[in-house]
Amino acid sequence: MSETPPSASSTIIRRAESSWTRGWLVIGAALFAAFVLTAWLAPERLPDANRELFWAKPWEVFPFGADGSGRSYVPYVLQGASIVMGPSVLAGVIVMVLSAVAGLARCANVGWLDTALQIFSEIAGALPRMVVILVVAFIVPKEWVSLYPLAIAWALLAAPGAMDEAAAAAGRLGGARFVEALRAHGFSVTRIYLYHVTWLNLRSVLMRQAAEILMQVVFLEIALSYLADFKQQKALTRQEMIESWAGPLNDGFRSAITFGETLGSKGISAAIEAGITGPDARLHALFLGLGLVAAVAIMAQAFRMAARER
Amino acid sequence: MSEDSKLNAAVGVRTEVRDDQELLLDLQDLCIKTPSRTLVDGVSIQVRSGRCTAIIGHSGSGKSLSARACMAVLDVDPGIVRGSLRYPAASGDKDWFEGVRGAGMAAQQKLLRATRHLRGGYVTYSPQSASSALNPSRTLGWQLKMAIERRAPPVADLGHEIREILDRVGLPARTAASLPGELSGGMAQRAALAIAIAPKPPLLIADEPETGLDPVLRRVVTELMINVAKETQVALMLISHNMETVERVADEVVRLHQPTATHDSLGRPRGGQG
Repeated sequence: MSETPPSASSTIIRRAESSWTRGWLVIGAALFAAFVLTAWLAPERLPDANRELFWAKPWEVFPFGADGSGRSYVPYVLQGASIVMGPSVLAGVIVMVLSAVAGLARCANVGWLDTALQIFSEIAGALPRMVVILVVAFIVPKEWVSLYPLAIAWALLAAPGAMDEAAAAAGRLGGARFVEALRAHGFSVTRIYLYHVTWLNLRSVLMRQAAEILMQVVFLEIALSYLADFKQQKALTRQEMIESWAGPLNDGFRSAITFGETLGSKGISAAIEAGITGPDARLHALFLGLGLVAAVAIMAQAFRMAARER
Repeated sequence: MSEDSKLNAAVGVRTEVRDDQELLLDLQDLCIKTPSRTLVDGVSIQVRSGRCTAIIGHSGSGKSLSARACMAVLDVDPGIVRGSLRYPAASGDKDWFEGVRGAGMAAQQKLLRATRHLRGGYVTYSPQSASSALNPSRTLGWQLKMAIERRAPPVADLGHEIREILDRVGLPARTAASLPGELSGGMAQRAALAIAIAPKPPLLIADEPETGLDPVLRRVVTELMINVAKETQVALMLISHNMETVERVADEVVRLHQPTATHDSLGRPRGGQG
């Protein structure tokens, strides 16, 4: 037992926090701040068309280029963020709260609450998620069309899995015995449940679940809008004058096909002309759409990594 | 004692009480019931400074429940129907069960809040399973710091104090930076003991500290607990199945008989014999 005692109390009561954890937190927070700011700055309508700038490249219309009507893609980015920001955060919060309740119920050992949560989980878990989403989308009155009802439905349907995981985490903690030991140490009920159980021990599970649901709701909107655009149907997640992040993806996807076909038949220089530099080239739209998707995925991943257990 | 009493307790004094051994805890004629059965009845426990009081009995006889009653931590409805609880050295002649007897859960919750300042300071607890006492997401050092902060005059050199406590329970200083999951069963039990003695309480309640340990470790941990209690002048209330241990170390023995019900750690009936 010949140990070198740690020199300072701080080093023996706390592990050196991983710089990676802090790094992920900074990345996640920065992307989330950008997400919120983007949504906040969203204009009500897209600017007028400018035929001279159709499919303008990013170096011609900074920073994302323009669409087939010569409109900058910046308002698309802003409006797309305004569609998904509120509903996706709300869905994340709903799942986080329900998971926390499930975890706390396991610790509190409250029979009726456990039963109620079990019944909810069984019913919600048994419903086919996409079918329910489409039903909700179609029954919402036209003037109320938005992503909110779909996001809430998605959160409720996704909650059982998250609640199971939180309850399992609380169970591994010792459940009621853990709470009992803390009560015997003289901690108040609020401190035990909110700080010791939720903040110290369930936080990583809750944050991971919330980040996943946030990401899923964003992708749900993009998928539904993409389908609506592709089939030239009315959007199920937004009013008609608002553009989704599916727009650039839809625009760019066709250019990717052209690029691929030209690459196969006429070679690389012709493909670059067709997809990237030519007057009809619109791969910049595809890169923008994929970039937005990647930014959301990185944000969710950053929060998951920042909140993981040490 | 009530007529439907099916449990009772016998007290055996093995060593004489000295004048300087102050009465720290006085639980008298405790009776706890659920709507369908009596969990404990007629249990009286006195713990004095510098002495070890052992509570023995079969599984389900109410040992842990009585220990929890000693800390005023109960979640049983209607709960305490008879008995008194006093902490003479801390609150004089005040009967903490006054207004709680037969008053149900709400009164017990009120009692829990009213006695919160005593738990973790005047009386500390080492639970059956060491893993229940340790927060898996925080280092042992962090948890010791929280326990030490319960002391009335704040400790100046926290790091030194943590190392001293760890040394006292036979753990190397580096374990302060360990998470509970990184400790072996024996180390975790020592860690739980370290947390229990960290606030320098007058009274320590140890609920079957040998549970889950192999026979060799069981003896080591129990010996350690006794030695630490003596060194730190902590009165020990030891709940145990192990008669050999009790015979060896206890100054006073409270024996709970005739189990008629089993209950979980919160005192809620599970049904069947334990």
